[in-house]
Amino acid sequence: MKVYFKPEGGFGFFPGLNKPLELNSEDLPEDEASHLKNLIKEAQLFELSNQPLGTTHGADQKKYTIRVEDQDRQHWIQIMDTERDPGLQNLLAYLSQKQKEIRKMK
Amino acid sequence: MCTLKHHRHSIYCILPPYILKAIAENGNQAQRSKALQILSCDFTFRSLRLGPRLSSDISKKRPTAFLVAGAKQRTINTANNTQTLPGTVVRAEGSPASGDPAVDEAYDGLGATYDFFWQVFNRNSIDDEGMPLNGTVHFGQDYANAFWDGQYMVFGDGDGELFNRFTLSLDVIAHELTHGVTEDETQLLYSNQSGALNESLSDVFGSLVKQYTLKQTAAEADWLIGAALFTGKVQGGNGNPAAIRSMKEPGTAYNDPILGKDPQPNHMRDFVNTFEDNGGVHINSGIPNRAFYLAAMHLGGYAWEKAGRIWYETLLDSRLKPNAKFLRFAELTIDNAKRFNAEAEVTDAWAQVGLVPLAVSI
Ligand SMILES: [Zn+2]
Ligand SMILES: [Zn+2]
Ligand SMILES: [Zn+2]
Repeated sequence: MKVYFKPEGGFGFFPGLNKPLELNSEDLPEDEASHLKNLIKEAQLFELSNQPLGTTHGADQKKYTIRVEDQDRQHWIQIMDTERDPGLQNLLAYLSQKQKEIRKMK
Repeated sequence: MCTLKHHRHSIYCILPPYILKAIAENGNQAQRSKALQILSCDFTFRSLRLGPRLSSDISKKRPTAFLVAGAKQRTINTANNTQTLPGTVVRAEGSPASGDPAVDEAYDGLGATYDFFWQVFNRNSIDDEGMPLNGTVHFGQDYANAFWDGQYMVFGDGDGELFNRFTLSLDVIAHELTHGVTEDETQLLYSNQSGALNESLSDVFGSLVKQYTLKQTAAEADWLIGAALFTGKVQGGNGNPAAIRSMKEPGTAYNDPILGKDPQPNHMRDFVNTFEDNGGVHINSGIPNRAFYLAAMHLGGYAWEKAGRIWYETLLDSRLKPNAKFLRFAELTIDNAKRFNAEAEVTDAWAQVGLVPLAVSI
């Protein structure tokens, strides 16, 4: 399974913080790979609709694109920080943390 | 796109849809057509979202009968490090300091911004009708951002690594409140050039609130946005301490191994075409930001008295459309500058960033 994660927006544009993250479950330790697969399953990501978020009201909000490729299917969604679904919140928290870790390793 | 002019009808802007539906069904002819207009525009927006609108829409309703012009009505909530809005109330209007710096900075910062708009422009809050100011602090975990969601001004604590809490800079609080003012007045579309104008207006009035509070002239001001937001670990540009943006010298606010270099252009020749950041709204805002700085410096004295007034009149100008580009905004500021005998100064400020309206065709 491959996961692509791209944060965007916010109060400022910081070139170094907006780089996309790409994860391949095959490159992750076994228990982390199954953790990630579980997060995707619990977020029911493949069942969500994927229209882009509108920008009629509000400003400086962050927006996250998450794309998942799994065997024969792939799907993408966009969510915001104010997302209320606990499954999506957990997935977003994991991906944000992962991006931070990778940034620190460089 | 929402083409409805919200201003002076803002009671409709803030009513939840089920009440609008009731008005559409039971109101008089004028009320019904207005409610229907708003319903159609807001449903377009809602249908684009993945989930339901976040906060309980009912809290938008305000007690109009008790509002006194010039009297602010602040409520500060805490999200308790969750991502739920609005959170729980920790400080309401008139109550004493809470001792929590984020809460008290938000309370004081929203108050200073309200006072600025009231005392300088005689504007009564976000909608000029006394709309209550709702702030939420401690949003999310290690959350390095502040935003306006159309209803709340929301502030994170920062990650403690690169970013401090977002209430530390008064101009950032004022920036968020100004997004509400802009949304009420013109609904400048939040992408590409109109979005960068929307961003620039928030920086302009954000910086003016800080200057007004510190009683600084244009020459004395630092023209930095978010000067307190970065931790000591972030490197500034040109040997200066780091800030999020510089209106005086866009592109020089930071230059850091992790964050990268401040991407703002300070002239049209360096305009950035990008799909990121809603088409570069926080990037190309450097161009109109610098034009405002130059106009304020040309005019001298306190920036809010002339330059700020001209920009404010332009924000209220019905000729400013939601899809306006930089050149149109420049034309309108030049036209509005005539009444303040400042046409030459404002024209020159725009020319210095590469924006020259041919014949000012208004
Ligand atoms: Zn903004
Ligand atoms: Zn309005
Ligand atoms: Zn609307």
